[in-house]
Amino acid sequence: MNLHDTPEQAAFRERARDFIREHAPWDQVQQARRLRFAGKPFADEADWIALSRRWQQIKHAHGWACLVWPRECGGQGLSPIENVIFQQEEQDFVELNGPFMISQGFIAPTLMSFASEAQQREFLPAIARGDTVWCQMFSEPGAGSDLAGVRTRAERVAGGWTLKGQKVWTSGAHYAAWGMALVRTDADVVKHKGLTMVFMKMDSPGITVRPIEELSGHAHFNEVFLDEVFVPDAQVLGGVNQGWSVALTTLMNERMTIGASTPMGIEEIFELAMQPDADGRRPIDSESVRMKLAEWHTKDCGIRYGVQRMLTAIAAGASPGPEASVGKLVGANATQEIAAFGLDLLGNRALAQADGDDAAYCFHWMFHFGALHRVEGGTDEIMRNVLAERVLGLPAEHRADKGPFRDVPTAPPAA
Amino acid sequence: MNLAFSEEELAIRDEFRRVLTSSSARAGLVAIQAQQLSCDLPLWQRLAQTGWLGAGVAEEHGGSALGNAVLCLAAEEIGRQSPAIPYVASVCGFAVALALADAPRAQAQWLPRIADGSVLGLVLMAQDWSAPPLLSGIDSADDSCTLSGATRLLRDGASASVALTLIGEAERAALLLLPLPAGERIGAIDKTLDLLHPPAAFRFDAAPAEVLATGDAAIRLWERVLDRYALFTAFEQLGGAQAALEMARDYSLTRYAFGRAIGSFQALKHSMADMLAAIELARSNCYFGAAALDDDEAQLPEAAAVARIAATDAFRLCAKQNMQIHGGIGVTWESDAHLAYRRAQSLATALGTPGFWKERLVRLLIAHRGSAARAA
Ligand SMILES: Cc1cc2nc3c(=O)[nH]c(=O)nc-3n(C[C@H](O)[C@H](O)[C@H](O)COP(=O)(O)OP(=O)(O)OC[C@H]3O[C@@H](n4cnc5c(N)ncnc54)[C@H](O)[C@@H]3O)c2cc1C
Repeated sequence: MNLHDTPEQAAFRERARDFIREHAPWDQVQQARRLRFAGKPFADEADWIALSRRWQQIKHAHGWACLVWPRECGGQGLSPIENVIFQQEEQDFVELNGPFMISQGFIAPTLMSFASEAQQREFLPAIARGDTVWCQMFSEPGAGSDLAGVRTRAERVAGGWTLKGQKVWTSGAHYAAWGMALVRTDADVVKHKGLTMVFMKMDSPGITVRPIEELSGHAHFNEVFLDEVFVPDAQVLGGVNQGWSVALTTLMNERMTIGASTPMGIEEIFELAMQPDADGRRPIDSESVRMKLAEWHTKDCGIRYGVQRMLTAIAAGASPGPEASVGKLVGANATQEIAAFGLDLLGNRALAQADGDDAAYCFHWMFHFGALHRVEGGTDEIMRNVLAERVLGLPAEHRADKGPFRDVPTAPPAA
Repeated sequence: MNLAFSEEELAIRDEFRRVLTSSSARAGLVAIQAQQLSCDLPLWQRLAQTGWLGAGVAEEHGGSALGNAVLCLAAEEIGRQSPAIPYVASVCGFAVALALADAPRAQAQWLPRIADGSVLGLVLMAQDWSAPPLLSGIDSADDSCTLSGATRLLRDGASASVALTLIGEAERAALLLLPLPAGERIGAIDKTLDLLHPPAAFRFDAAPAEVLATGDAAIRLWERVLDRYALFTAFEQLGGAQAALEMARDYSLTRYAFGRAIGSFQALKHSMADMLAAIELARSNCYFGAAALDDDEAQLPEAAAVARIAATDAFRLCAKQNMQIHGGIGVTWESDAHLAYRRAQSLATALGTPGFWKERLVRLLIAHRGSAARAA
């Protein structure tokens, strides 16, 4: 056991640091920091994407983009350890990866496993540069946790398929050029067996994207209507009715990406607790506050060193297990608690964000984010199911959806 | 960074496991309850014969010096199997503490006896004293002195015969080695919180002691002692938590209610998932600590504190939920579930309360931030 970089890792860290010192958009560092917890400090979302793209393109030009991708796909062929080292050094700007997280983190690995070589050559470099953004159209009004229950229909037509249905909660669909969708190609078999993964241009005829406001009032995700959208056969990934295993690849990468890289809020709450309040008292001088800070710091450390345990296992040739779900489950709940505690400390001051009140701004966003984060990428309850069944080997739920998909019970129509 | 134990370390752990399985928590309880022993002495003797009591002792003092990583694993294994012996207190805590001091004479006198099992050591914290200890007659020729005072009840006190302790503050601080007068087991066994670690209290009346360090040096040494002992204890708690979860899981697969295994009820699955999450956090923090202990002492204070806090939480949660998942059988004397439940509680306060470790952590973090701000 040890805590230090190997000489190669230390040299890599040094090079990363030099590159970031020289090339990162330091003129925008304040804005970039304020992006933590998905706050949108930019008046116009396009400015956020433009800045993110600027940094992405610089990284790409200097060989610092998509470090873990294979070289032939436009990456650097490095290990997840180097990726984490780079992220640690990139700390101040890491939130500028936001617009590309889905494309680079979940979609690209799926393309690498299932797309043709020609398609990989066509799409991956543009994803690596940040030129094209993809979205992930999995969830539907009737299928979120129960993802295999998607109902968007794909009907066979000459040369491909036409899609009809609705997707929802699609992050970034309003700025994505391409989208990957899980659709139903056979409703007469058990639900997992009738699914197919396809991809399409988001400006294809028949696609309508409508923003949905989150509780914060910002619209980061969307509903996407698919009305007779044509998808050519070449844009089926992994084969017809093989979509479930493709989706599992995406979801595994999603959980890895989300669990390992999301801040919990410990720096923010510590900072706030150190600030004297209106009466000149510092919250951190109170014992009850100190106990809480210690508990959250302990969780934060546990999650961070959990990632390091996972990296150690990967380096030794093991594949990351469902244990990654622990970080997401614990982290999201802690963030929500920290946010409420921060708002408690702010008291009336937090009732509205005054201009320039960074603390109120930050904890409002964290308060929203904690709630969103417990749902996205697998809810708390789904994470617990995964841990219970796949790690502890406990029996699966009794299910009412084992027959052909068309016979699966659904909610009775509203009276 | 490397956060995994080596194959070799794990193989040594497996051997230790084999020796430990020659007894059990239950057998220890019988030894203590029916035979009036202070601990599971037959097991203790087997461990002495097979060299396991010298794991934290240098070879020159008759030990096998297996190294910190193996001591961590040994403590975890003790937690898992829950034998009724003060292994972590004596073999990990006391021996490693004494070895840190610059005290060749005391080491030569006591460490061989730790390794051969004839002496069992403890570490006493400030909170363990009921009457503040008073030192007198320090003889600078041989660092001997006498001490008067009294302790509160000490976990494992019934079997201990020597202790390390820090008394006094600032320049008057002294790290002492303190032979314990014959301890008296206090109270009947059924009035003992942790049945497998019978406590005792001690009274000293001008008892002989030895000064190992004074002033700043003593305080610095003491901090290092506490961090190490806290980490070993955290590993013990981690092992206890893991065993409790496995016991709950196994039972839930065999017990049926409403026509199905109770382990298929989501309320229980989610409860066990939360136990697992608590264990994973504790394990990651414990491994951080084990790595710091071997590789970067500067990070050990933080690592020991987070390990200790997380492992206390994990063991308490797992021990109480394990009982709950066992239903009626779990709350009987017959079940081992209460042995873990009791031990989770006694370990939570054995070496500073959770509040003590949280306070220690926050102070450290404030100090770190202060020095980071000055550096920037
Ligand atoms: C910020 C954000 C971004 C998102 N981005 C995307 C995206 O880009 N693409 C995409 O496809 N989706 C996206 N999602 C959707 C997300 O994956 C789903 O919201 C999530 O999986 C939950 O599904 P649902 O909303 O249908 O809730 P439901 O599945 O209806 O869940 C409702 C409640 O029931 C519980 N529940 C459901 N099943 C079980 C069970 N078996 N056991 C116990 N409890 C259960 C849930 O835990 C939850 O509490 C996003 C969501 C959020 C919040």
